[in-house]
This record gives sequence, structure tokens and C-alpha cells, in this order.
Amino acid sequence: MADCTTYRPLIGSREGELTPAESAELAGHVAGCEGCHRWAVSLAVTEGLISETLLAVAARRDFAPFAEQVMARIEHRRLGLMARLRRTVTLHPWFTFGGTLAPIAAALLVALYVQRGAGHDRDTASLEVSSDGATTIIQSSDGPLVLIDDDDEES
Amino acid sequence: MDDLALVDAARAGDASAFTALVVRYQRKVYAVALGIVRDPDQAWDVSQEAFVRVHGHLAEFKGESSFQTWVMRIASNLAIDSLRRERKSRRDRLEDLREEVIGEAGEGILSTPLGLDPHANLLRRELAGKMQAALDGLPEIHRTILVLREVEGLTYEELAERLGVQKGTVMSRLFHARRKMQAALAGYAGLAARETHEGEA
Repeated sequence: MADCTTYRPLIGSREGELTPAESAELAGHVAGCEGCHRWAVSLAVTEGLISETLLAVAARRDFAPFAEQVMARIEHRRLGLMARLRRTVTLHPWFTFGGTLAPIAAALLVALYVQRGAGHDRDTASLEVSSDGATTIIQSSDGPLVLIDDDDEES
Repeated sequence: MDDLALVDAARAGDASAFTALVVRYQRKVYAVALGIVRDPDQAWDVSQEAFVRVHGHLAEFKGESSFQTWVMRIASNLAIDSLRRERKSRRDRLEDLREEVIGEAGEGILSTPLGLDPHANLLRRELAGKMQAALDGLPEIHRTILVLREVEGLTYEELAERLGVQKGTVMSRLFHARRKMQAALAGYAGLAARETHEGEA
């Protein structure tokens, strides 16, 4: 019986749902167990009946208006969304105006920031450094900058 | 025209293409919804809502699974959600189906009256007429898993994912669902009584 409680839930599995070892073990048990064999046959007797029954019920129902009603629902939702948008714009024009402008303003700020960042990179990229030991000259876009070593000056 | 061509056309705004898809799958979607929610009007509503959702998400359909699989998944999820909402407002009396009612009837009794050959079994025809009532009498979790398995054709793994449970739980729940179904069918078909009379004779 302990075996049956293990094996019985496996009865009714489809191909590929059990490992080959599980399938072989199950088949061996069912072949030698009258209760599990009866259970397997009972499942076979009713196999597919649920699907057949429900599809038969569906087949008896008149589906003539179904698709039309679905399309009407879709249209109703679309119009409902448009109507909600229109109502929001009518009731809160400044809020809507601000809401419309906000992403544009944000985009402009980002563009400005990126442009400035790129400009900074350009300045950095244009720096040229030369040194003769005591003196270092940095060539930037704003002109040369001369750095004199303090130690050399003191000596 | 195949499903994918109709989906492409519907995406491009062709309403008749979407209507064709609805007509193609409406009965199967309804059958799954009915199996889960039981009430024909609610099933009708869930089925229509499923197609509305499908239409709203057509752009997201990548064709990785078949259109039918996608539609059925949306429909069965909506049906399950609908049941969950309903459950909050009323207690599921059907959960009370007691184990003692099942008794022996849940252990393969359907195989005994007409022998062990399922193909020659005339009982099947008799049972078909009782199937819906038997299904309606099952607790919600058992009815749902049977419909997903038998009508939508989900595998153990797919059932586990859909219901958010382990594969072992799926197998166990299916087993108990089938036991209750067998018991209910035996009761409807008068097999338990027949067995008893035969035993007495």
C-alpha cells in the first residue's frame, strides 16, 4: 500500500514527464498491483472526457455575437481612454501643460549637461604638457601656463 | 491564413484579422473559462476579456509560443483571478467534499462494471453525460487543475509554474482531483449503488 501511494499519483503522466527509470518502475508496479491497474484503467476510461464535455457545451452555445461584442469592448476601452485624456486636459489644463513640458525640459537639461561635459573633455584633450626639468609648460585652449619648480628657484 | 499572419495583420490595424482570430479560438477559450469558473455568463465575460487583453498586448506577442497557447494562458489566468476575487466574497462550500464520500469510489471503481478494457467500455458514453455536473461539484483547486491539464493540455512543469506550486504538489493535487472526479462520476452514474446490489446478490 505504501508503494501504491507513491506510484498512484504517477499514473496518468504523459510521455516525457517521467524519467525512463520512473516509467519502468511504475509499469512494473502497475503490472503486479491490481488496485493500481484498476486505477490506471479508470483514468483511461475517462481520459479526454473533460475536454470533450466542455467543448461540447461550448459548441452548443450560440457564438454569433461573441466576436462583435469583443470588438465593441475594445472600441469602448479605446474611446474610454481618449475620453479620460480629454477630461483630464479640460479639468486640469495647467497641470497637463506642465506635465507635457516636463519631459521636454528634462530632455533639454540632459542635452545641456551632456554638451558641457563634452566641452570639458575637449579642453582636457587639448592640453599639451612639455617639461625641460625645471620648467613645465602646459598649453591649453586658454593659452600657455608656465610652472617653475620652487626648489630650483630657491637654489 | 495562419495565426501569425493574422496577428501581423491585426497589429497593423486590420480589425477583420483580429476578428478571425477571435472566431478561431472563442469556443476553446470559453470551454477553459467555463471549466474553471463554472458559471456560463461569467465564462462568457472572462473569455471576452481575454481577447480584449490579447488585443491590447498584440505588440508584445513575439511568437515564441503559439498564439493559441498565449490566448489560453491569458484566459485561464483571468478565470483563476475571477475565482479568487469571488472567493473573497463567499466561502467555497464545495471544499467540504469529504474524504469518506470518496471512499472506495475514488479507487478505480469505474473500471469494474464493464471490465478492464477501456476501449470496449460503454460506460464512457454514460459518463460523458455526467461529466459537467461532476466537474462542477469539485472543489475549486481540483477543478482548476483538471481543466488546465485536460483542456489546456499543460504539462506538470507548466502547471507548477502557472499555479505557483512545486511539481510534486501538482502531481499530488491532480491525483486527488482525479479521485474526487472518479467518485463523483461513480455516484452520478449510480455505480456505487449498482456495486452494492451486486455485492448483496
